[in-house]
Amino acid sequence: MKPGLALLPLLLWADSASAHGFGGAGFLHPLTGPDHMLAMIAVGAWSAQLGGPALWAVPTAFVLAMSLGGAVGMSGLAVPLAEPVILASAILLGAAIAIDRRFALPLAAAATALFGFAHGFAHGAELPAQSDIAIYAAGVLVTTAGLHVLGLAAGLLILADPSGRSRLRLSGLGVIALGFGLLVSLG
Amino acid sequence: MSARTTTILTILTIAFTGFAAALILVGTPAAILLLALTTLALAGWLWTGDTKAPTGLMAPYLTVPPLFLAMGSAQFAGGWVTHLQADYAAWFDPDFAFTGANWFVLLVCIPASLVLFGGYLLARNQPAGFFMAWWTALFAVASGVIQIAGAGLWQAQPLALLASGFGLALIFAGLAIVQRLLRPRAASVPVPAPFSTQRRLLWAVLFAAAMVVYGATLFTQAGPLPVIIVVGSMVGGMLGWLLTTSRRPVDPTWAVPLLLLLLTLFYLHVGEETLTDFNGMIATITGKPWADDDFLLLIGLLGPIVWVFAAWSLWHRQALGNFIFWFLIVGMILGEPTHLLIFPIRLMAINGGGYEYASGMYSALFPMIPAIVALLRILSDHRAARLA
Repeated sequence: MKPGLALLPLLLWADSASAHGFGGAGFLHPLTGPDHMLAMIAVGAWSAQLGGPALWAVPTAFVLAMSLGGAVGMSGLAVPLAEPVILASAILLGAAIAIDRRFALPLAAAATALFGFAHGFAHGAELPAQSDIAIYAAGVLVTTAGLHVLGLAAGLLILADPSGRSRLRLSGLGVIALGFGLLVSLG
Repeated sequence: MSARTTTILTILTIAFTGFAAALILVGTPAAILLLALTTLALAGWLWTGDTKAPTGLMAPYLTVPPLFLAMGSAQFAGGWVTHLQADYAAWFDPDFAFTGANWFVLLVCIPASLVLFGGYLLARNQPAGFFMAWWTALFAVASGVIQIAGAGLWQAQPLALLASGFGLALIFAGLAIVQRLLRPRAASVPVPAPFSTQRRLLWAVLFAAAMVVYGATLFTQAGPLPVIIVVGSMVGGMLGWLLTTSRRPVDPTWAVPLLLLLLTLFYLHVGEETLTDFNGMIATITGKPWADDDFLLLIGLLGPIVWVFAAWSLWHRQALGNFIFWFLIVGMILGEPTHLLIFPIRLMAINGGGYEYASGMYSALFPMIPAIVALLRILSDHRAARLA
């Protein structure tokens, strides 16, 4: 089924490929920013690759830090370099998947938390005017968690195959390529 | 009269009718291209005849519909229709309206439906199926070349590049079909070992996550009513899949033709919805605006990429294809009657007046026919496997 998993990036073009050009409710925000979506699926896939407690700890760190980042973004505080961190997150997560090293859990969780904070900041800062904050925040969290689980399950399914480890590393290279593509197109 | 003569007469009749329709609705170049493709395909089919090994053709054939829709999605999202109007208006009839709906119905929905129906005929080993294999191969190559050649002046560069990538893949797919037509060989898909419980669970988790994400997108764009219908069908499909084909995939030799017929009828139904402002009707019912472009991209293009990819996946006995097969069966049986029951009645309640046309009504029930046949076959096979 791996070719089916390869279709997932198509959803990146659910909007006109602008990074944060969405003005609707929170549910759609992580989906219409290709950089967000790529990173969130990659977090799930990386967690699958790390295995053990990382399966839940890494995505949880991302979601918790994203909530905090969202609150900071909504408060109007400025956070320098948030956008470059978001763009770098997809490339670095792809690189982590591609090199397939056993990172210590605290390091992996801290890195994803940093990325999560930056993504959350962007979601919070781009809260559409007259939006219900609670619904918007719930939407962002539900969609983000959905994408993490999707990446996690896809990663575990890929790893269940005898050649799965190499295939997952290859998909990490794909994430890097897409990340660079976004960097250039948004650049 | 032989089947071959009947097939030739049918092809010629449809070809000339299609030529006239394309001449009137799209323009002279499109009509000439259609006639040229059909003539070449007919010549190819008469030259090679009906190959004795249609199974070897199915895998490359089934890559064409998802690639074509993926290319169409990238084109549409990148403003292809505006690009055509700005730079290629002379290629179209002066009365051709450059709207997303018009482009989608005439240049995406109808050709894609033809390709899907051709796949049905091919999978059933019909003579017209081998003609359609030639036609689809040439159509794939022509579509890819048009995209790559026509993207030169297109300004939305990243999406133009993406669409051209799909165009290139279409050219390869078309050439692969031609190669198989010239050197036929049988190809059997290996029967996989029954899926373990852990793997089935992982697939179920993946499908559930995809449902949440897709449902969230649909909810944001269209409100709760379409979500109840679509995600409800997905949940029903997942239960059906878990209880039957999740352990042992269906036999693709009977399932793929039925799925392709279902997809043909369903995609024509999406065409009717597009022409008759389905999103406007839903907006009237839910009170939530649903933009034309959002509807076309999600319901007409992106969603169907996954639905038509399911045919390829089902052919390879994969879990994804088997799940989507179930989802489409449930969706057609439970979801489509809403066009005749729920929507008109809701419109009566909102607008007053009597029972009137609701968008998509005329073509809604037809996909139910292959869906019901497939449901009965799956249940019967499952019962037989349990007793064995």
